[in-house]
Amino acid sequence: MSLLDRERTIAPRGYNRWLIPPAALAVHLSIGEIYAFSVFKVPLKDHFGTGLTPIGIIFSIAIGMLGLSAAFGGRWVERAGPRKAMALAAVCWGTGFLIGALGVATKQLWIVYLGVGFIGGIGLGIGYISPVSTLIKWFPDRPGMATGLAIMGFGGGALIASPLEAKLLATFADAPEDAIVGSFLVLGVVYFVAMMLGAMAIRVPPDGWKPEGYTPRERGAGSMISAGNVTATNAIKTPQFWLLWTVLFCNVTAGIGILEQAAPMIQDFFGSVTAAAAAGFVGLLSLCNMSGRFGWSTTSDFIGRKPTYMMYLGVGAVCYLLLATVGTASVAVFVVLTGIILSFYGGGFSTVPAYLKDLFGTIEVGAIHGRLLTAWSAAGIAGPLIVNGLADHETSVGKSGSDLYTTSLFIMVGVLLVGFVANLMIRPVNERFHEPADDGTRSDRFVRDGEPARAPAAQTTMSTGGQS
Amino acid sequence: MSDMTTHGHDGAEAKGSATLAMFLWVAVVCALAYGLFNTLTKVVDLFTG
Repeated sequence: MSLLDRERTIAPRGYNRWLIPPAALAVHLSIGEIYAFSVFKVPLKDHFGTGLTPIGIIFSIAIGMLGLSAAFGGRWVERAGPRKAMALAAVCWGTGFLIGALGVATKQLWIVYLGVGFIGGIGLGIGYISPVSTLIKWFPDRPGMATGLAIMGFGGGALIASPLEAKLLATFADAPEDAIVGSFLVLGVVYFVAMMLGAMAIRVPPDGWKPEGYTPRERGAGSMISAGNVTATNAIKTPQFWLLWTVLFCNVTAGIGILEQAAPMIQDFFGSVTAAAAAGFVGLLSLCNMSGRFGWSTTSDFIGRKPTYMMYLGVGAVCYLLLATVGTASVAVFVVLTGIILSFYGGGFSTVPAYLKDLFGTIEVGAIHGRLLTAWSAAGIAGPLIVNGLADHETSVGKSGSDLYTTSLFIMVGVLLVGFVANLMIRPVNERFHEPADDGTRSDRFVRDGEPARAPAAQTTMSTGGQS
Repeated sequence: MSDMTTHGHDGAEAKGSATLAMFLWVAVVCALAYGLFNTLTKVVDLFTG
């Protein structure tokens, strides 16, 4: 039996569940580097003697592959278990940088696309979803907090990588464009080791495990928390999946529009803001993004997932409206409003696995989460397109300063309101989608939080997978 | 971490995982502190000039 097999990862009774989050964080902090990849943009542009657009394609391929590998690899992740999945992510993410270094050394940009973009992107997608369902099963009483802690790492990865990469580029050569190979090699090795340590530390709970003193909540009439389990195949046939897809798409579109354009945006709003201060603004938004992932997701354990998303989308729409109307009043007002929006953006990512667990149960929550992340890929295209496209158009008609963004800010208000309505429409999943219980009925009574259905043979494998 | 028990056939492996996880707690906290420090020093520029 291989060290990576799921059977080797089952924790003994009494294992401390607080030993699980650092394993997840080791993976998410590593793959979160992708948000700091822009540090290499100018050095890569100078090294290859090309424009920013061909260099930007590396990031686009990586994010595209993140969505695709999460969507198509989700069921494999559930079957194989978190250790094997995290090890695969480590190999892909680490090797991606090493192949990228080869591409830079031989001045072949397509090899960088293949390495960091394609192979690294697979590592991003598999790494992102691999610890999520494991954490949900260890923390059935606080799923929002548990997934928030891990997904916070994806936001925090850039905070660590950004200064680290700047130092590496300064260390390996006098000119940054000559230091990329060394930097990529170091990053590849460091991230591979960190993620493999996470893979070795991960453990799944034994069958039937639940936290001491934990009693699953009784399902009341109209409760959003399902007592049944739904497979990934069936989940995408439910309106709830597509309503939640719309919710995530709208929330991410609104946030990414600001995130992607943050530095030039604050300088267009306030001519007095220097480049160094704009970099500080970007750093502050990263902090809001990261803290929102943990803070709001934890809050959702107390107030419920649906009200939490009503806040993200409703209060977010009001913030966008204020940004469009009084955003120029002062730097402080602008920073506070964008900070709130970015905390909601981060919170939207980290609360969604717990929302999925509430709606669809735990047996394939990782696979369902992977499929839902296609909303992220779509929003990654839509958000920047709206903000950049409209800013370019407004420039062409002679507008300047904050006027460049007024139309797109109002559009974002509309986008968030669409998401708000979609969230309002989410109801508990119809029981006909639930997996049968032992006696062949669709009884809800025996399927409890953190305890996957055990009935049909095919699902038994999956339910063991569900422990991942 | 006192409530961790290591029994059964994979007790030694579980103990190894637990030790590794505790090391990882220290490592991720240090890494995050490094990132936060570097970010906060930049944020100061936003309000001071």
